[in-house]
Amino acid sequence: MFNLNRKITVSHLLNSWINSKLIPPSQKHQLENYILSQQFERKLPLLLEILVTIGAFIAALSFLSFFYLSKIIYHPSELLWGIIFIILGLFFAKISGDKLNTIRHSFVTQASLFTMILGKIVFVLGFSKVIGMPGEETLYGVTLAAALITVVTYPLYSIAFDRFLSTLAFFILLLNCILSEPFFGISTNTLLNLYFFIQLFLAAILLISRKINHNFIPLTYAITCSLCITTLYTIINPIIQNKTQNFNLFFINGILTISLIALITWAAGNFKKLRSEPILIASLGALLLGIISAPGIMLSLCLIILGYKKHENPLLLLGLFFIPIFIFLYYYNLDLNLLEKSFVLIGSGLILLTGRAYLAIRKLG
Amino acid sequence: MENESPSNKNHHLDSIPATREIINTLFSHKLISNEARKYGIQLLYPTHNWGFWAAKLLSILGIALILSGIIYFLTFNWDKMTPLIKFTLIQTGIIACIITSFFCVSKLIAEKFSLLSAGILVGVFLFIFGQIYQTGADSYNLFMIWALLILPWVIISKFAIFWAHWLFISNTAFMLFWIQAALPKPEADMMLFPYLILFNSLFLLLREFLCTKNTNWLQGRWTRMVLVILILALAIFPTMVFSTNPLHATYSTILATLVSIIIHIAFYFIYRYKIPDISVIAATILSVCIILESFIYETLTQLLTPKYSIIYLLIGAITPFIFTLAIIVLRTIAKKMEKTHV
Repeated sequence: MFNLNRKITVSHLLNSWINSKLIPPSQKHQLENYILSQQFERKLPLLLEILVTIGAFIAALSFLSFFYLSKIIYHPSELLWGIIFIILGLFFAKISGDKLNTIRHSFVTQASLFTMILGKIVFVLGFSKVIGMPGEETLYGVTLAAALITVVTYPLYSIAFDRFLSTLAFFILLLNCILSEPFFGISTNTLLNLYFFIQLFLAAILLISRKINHNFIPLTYAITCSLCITTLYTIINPIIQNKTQNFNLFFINGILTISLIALITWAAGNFKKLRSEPILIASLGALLLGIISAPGIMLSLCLIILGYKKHENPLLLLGLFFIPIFIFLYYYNLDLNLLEKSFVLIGSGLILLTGRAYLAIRKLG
Repeated sequence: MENESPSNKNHHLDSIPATREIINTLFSHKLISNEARKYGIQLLYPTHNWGFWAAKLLSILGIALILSGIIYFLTFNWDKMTPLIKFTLIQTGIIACIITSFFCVSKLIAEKFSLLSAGILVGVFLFIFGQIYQTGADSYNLFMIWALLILPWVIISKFAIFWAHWLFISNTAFMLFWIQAALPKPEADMMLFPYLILFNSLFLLLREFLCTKNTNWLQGRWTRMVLVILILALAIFPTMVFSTNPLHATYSTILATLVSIIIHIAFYFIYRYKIPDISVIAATILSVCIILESFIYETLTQLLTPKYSIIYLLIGAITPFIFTLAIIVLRTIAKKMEKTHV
């Protein structure tokens, strides 16, 4: 639905370049062959990574069950076993070789990933028992272990799914920690706001930066997913818990409003465009969303704008996936009866359609 | 590829959509200048598209919010409304959607979503009808009549999402019919799966046939993948049931397993040789891996219970071999496909 360049083919693109004298006609043949050779190359690595990851997870969970059922791994040896498996995982990754299309590479990569997953799980369980009460895991212990293992293995172990899942798991554990356990007397509200701010700041740097090392892409997506999960949790929490929450969304609303306006300006090109009518109205819309306290909707719009501007479909799809969920939750949470909600919904819909009409009148849509 | 005839190469290049990714890859390999990169990006994603994209988003969200508001209004006043008012409101909504669709022929999104809304409202009408008149009919009746009533609109809409919605209703009707009306004997209960597989495969074949006739609205890859994944999921389940007790499997389980095997083989041959699509091949291979894992687990459980630690050890050891073989097969197929079709 948002892919507007369906009709521009590679053939058309190459001819446009030649007509604009941006490439010499003699280079066309080379570019054609290169593009054709890339067609299968682009799709295949992702499909293979999916297969490798699924296989590795099944193997890791099977081995984990074996080790615990046979009591080979037990407290306090878990920590040591975890380290052994992680080192084994790194070793397998090193010896897997550069020749991608060999049985050895495929098998050793599999072995590397499942020993790494196994090692991380066992290490986290072992470390958390060492930190906490004897023989019992604590949430802080698990989170600290996840942080430690992610930081250590991220630069050393290059499989994207492992980096993504490990980082995401750490952020989710940290969120759980902040909301469940006291931390040196600091209020949950302060911790949550700080946590959200740091995530947003990191996401902003990684997503907006023009030249980002491909090694940081899993980290970028993990932080983005974590932001969505954090926002979702803060909105759902009062519904699930059915009690007053010990945090408020004022700060989160504020920084998301500022982020959305900044993003609209960035997408427009520069700050001077803020004076132009469409950008000004879009910014006022963002401000209105901040006033009515709709952090989920603002975050989804940020992702949609980023995804569209950078032409990164995962971001765009993430935003499109979450926007109906956050819109639903927003209206569900409104402290109004059904009749009043119906008027609010119809009014909101009419405002959006007025915006649509404005774009049509100004011939922008 | 180097020896490919110019006409073949041009045909392939004309079927590959230009994307930002292709441009960035060429730039990162220093095959084009930064100027060419910027020109290409501007060609693919001109600035004025922002307005078009924002307009579409505002339209869809605005309509969705208004419809939700109407539903909330109706829900609030439901008990106070007489059946006549309820039916009048829904029917007015259906007629309004049809009229909007008729007058918005030039505005494709409005036309298609209006028809889709009308289709959804038909279901709402049938639900209210059943509620008011308390006919005692089974719920499969509702879904079946719903699917039949909106079928003409689905056909004329040429809208993939509407087709997906219709398939969802049809599959639900079939499943509910099986449970509520067909009431099969225990030995025949697995026949549901081959029927559903055949039903959905028919639509997959129809989709592929229409795509060969350059039917633009079906060209989205998701229309194929959704059907493929659904069919494979339907194929996996009876096979896993068969693996729990192959010697005492009912005839319906055996038949469902046979159909499952045939479907996997069919997918391989069709999407390997006729309509090359490496994603479908990968999904089929993954499905085979899951079935194999299930067989191995059941076999080991029957042989080694209660030594579960040994069972998990063996599964853990065998799994990397299965998936490594899958990866090798997929790579080999991809390479051969690249040579023959690119």
